[in-house]
Amino acid sequence: MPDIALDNLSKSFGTFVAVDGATLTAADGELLTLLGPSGCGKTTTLRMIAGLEEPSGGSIRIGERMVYDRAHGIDVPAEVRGLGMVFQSYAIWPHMTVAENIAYPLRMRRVGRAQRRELVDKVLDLVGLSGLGDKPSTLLSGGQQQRVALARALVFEPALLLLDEPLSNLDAKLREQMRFELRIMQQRIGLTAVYVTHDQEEALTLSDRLVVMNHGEIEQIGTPTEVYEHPATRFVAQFIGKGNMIDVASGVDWQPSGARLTLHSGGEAREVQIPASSIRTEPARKTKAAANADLSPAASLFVRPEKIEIGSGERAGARSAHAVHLAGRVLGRAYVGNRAEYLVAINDATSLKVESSTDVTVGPGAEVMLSIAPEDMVLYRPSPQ
Amino acid sequence: MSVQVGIATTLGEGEVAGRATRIGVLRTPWIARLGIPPVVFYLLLAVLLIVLVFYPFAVLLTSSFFTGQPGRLGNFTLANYAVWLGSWDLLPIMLNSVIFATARLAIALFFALLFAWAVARTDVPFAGLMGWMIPIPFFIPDLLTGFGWLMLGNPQNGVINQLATQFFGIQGPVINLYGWGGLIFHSALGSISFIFLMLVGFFKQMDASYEEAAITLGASKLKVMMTITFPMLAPAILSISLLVFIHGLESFENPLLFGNPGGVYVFANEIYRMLSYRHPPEYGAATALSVILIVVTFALLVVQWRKLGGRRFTVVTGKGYRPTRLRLPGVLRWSIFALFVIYFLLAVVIPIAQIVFNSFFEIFGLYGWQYVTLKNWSNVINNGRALNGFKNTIIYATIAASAVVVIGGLVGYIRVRTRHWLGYALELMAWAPWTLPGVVMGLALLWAWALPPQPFNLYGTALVIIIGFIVKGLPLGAATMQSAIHQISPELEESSRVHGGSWLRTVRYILAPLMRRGALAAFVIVFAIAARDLTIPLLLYRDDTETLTVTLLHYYETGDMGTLAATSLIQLALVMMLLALDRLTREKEG
Repeated sequence: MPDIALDNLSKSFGTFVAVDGATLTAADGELLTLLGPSGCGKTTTLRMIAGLEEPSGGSIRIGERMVYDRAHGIDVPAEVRGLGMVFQSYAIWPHMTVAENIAYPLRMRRVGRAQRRELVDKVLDLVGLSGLGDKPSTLLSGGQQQRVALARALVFEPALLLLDEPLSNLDAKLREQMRFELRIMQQRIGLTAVYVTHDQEEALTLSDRLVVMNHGEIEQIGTPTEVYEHPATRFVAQFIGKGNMIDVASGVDWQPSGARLTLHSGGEAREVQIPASSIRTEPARKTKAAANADLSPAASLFVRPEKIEIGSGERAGARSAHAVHLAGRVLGRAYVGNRAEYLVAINDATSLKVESSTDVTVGPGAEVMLSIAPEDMVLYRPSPQ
Repeated sequence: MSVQVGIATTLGEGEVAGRATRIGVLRTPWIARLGIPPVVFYLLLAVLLIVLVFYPFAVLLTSSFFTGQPGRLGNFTLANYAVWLGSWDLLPIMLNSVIFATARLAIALFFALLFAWAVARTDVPFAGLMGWMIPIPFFIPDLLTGFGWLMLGNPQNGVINQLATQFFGIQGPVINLYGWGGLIFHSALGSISFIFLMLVGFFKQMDASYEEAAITLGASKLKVMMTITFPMLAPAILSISLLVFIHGLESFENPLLFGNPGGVYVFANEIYRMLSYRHPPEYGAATALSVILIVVTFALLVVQWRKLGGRRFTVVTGKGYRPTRLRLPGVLRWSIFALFVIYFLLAVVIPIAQIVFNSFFEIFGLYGWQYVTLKNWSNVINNGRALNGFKNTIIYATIAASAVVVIGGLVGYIRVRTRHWLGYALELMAWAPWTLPGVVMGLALLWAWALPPQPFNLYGTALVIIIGFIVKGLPLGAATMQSAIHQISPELEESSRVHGGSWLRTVRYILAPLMRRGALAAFVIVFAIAARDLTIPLLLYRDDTETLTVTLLHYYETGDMGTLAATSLIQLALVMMLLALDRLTREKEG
């Protein structure tokens, strides 16, 4: 199985920059996910790999083969790149049976009838649709269409599998089931795959590594754990999982050993010391769109709801000896099965989302004390423009 | 698991040189190896459309400033325009045209709206049958039903007038279809089906929840119709009205049949009069009048474009859900149905029955058992003229319709699937002939193809008539093809490309099969337009390239009503054939 490398790949439509200098690699047998909100350039990137969209610059290498290189005028047509692709709409041809759909890539490769039938039967078996080959494709359910699309992309043992939001048209239950099946199948075959989704949960559970994109730029590349635990930018922090972003516009004292800042709660000012290891400096934005994104230019403090401990009244939890304690009032409480979510106001301008186990029960209006360990906080520092 | 084994074994072999994948071989398609950029193909298509559409128009415009006649330009002059702009002669023609087009539109729009609304949005009885039957007259040439009505209602010996004399002793005509009355009556009757066809899709597509919301808020059914349904569809109705109005300004057959004997002259029959009833033909004046007409229609078309924001109109082919229907009081339901029955009797049954009846009598108006004869039919079969016309019509219409399907398909594909600006330009060019009225188009083609030296001089050939049909069918044909392509998700094609299908193979295995029905619909529409057309062959035919419509007009002008009736029925057979084909395209819709 080949690896894939994109080098400084770009695409603009007129003056709009859809993808701005994407550089990334996927190792042999790796499942790499492109994740981001709609319009972030993830689908455009995938379509450029497939050869369905002509890049404005950069290069694409699949295994040993350069399929696109602007500088050297290489542009291998989509139909000879030898890739398998699952489309968002599945793109099952309605005028063909299931078997005809799946056999299509083999027909295009001039594979003989007998071998075609053999390979189709094998792959039908693999995706769990044995015996459905003669069924008209219009009579398939959503989940079955999804499997046929996958079978069609796998039948000729492609160099690379591309998946464009393949699960977004399924209902929630089926989506979860297919997600695991897809992952198991990809690992079993050892196929290199590039997967596009806007669903962060899907991305976290499926991927070996993920690429978070926004406004055509790559924000962070890393394993799911890295991206969740150590978000490189404010965008990543807010896009993946839940989080509190507190603007600390004024009064940050930047020191070599870290930063000192003040938080206001319960009418008092609390000093917070952030170690240098928890400070991230945002990269300079290249594109206009990214620069204009509605991110505050000031520094912000980030903390995940489950990292905040909640105690009733004056009794603060004691997770860490040097924890920061903030007094607040509960605005609302939502029960979500095994835990509870709170919205707690610590001053007139700031409320924090807090998640805790259900054995703490405080209702709306209750005075509470929040505790946060300094190492659970991340301070984002805007790039010096 | 078995695939896993397969991969495990092939993995060991390593990559064989030149093989893109592990199974089978992919080759770069020959057309890609040539390295011709797609824009070259777009430009070739653009050149073809320029030759087909703009070249004749340009020649027409040029020749309006010259003294010559087709084949010879002559000298520069402004006299052709002086005829019209330097006298009061233009005024009555303009006025007549506007009055005619307005009256025709107003009456036809009223009934078309009523029928479209009833069929698509209410529980009117036999809605399905109505929806199928109302468009039928669109397929029947105006010429045919016109002949039928003239036999019935001409003031001298019209059948209705004869009956009135015979049974009630009334002397003098009780009905006179010559002049304004017949002109407006028959052309309005004929336009209802076209407007209905254009409108009914909008009514069907409209989300019923808008109307239901109004009902839950206490609006009566009439209020809902007046405050929600019609206003929401107003842009569509307005823009279709403008199109129909433009067609009213251009229409030829009705002014020829009903206007001429009553002395009512509008643009089209005036142009024809200058060419055919004057000796020698006044080419200069006719050409100048044609240019004036184009200027007027083009101005109106610009208005129409603004209204629709460039989105011509929707040609509805297939799908669409069934919205909940308004329940009407019984009296209203059956009144609308009764109106439909009357409409269908007047537009189809009565005139066609008259023609059928007349085809079995030797002398028009002498209807007695002793006069029944099959002579008309043996005439038609023996003298060969009608059969030759029939044959020509079928051949020309088939070639033209096939050409439009291909050209329209390419234009639609480029327009829908690429972001290239030439796509818009091509679409515009395919649409442009809509501004060219039939008679003007015939005149323009006559000028354009009689002018160049051999072998490009197509004057008097069948090819020039076929070109005329292509140009005339292009707007609707291309729009139909474009909407058919629009309904195919681009991912269906992309999926083929990624999985190894070249562009040509994608067209062959994916696009063509998926577009079959849309292409058939476009074929039928263009065939119908060509088969019913009189204006283009009328100015371009020679004896051996005469089409059936020209044959019909010939029999009408020589007063041979028996042979005319029999020949009309051959044309009708053609119409039936088309209706059957059209039925086929809609078959599986549900």
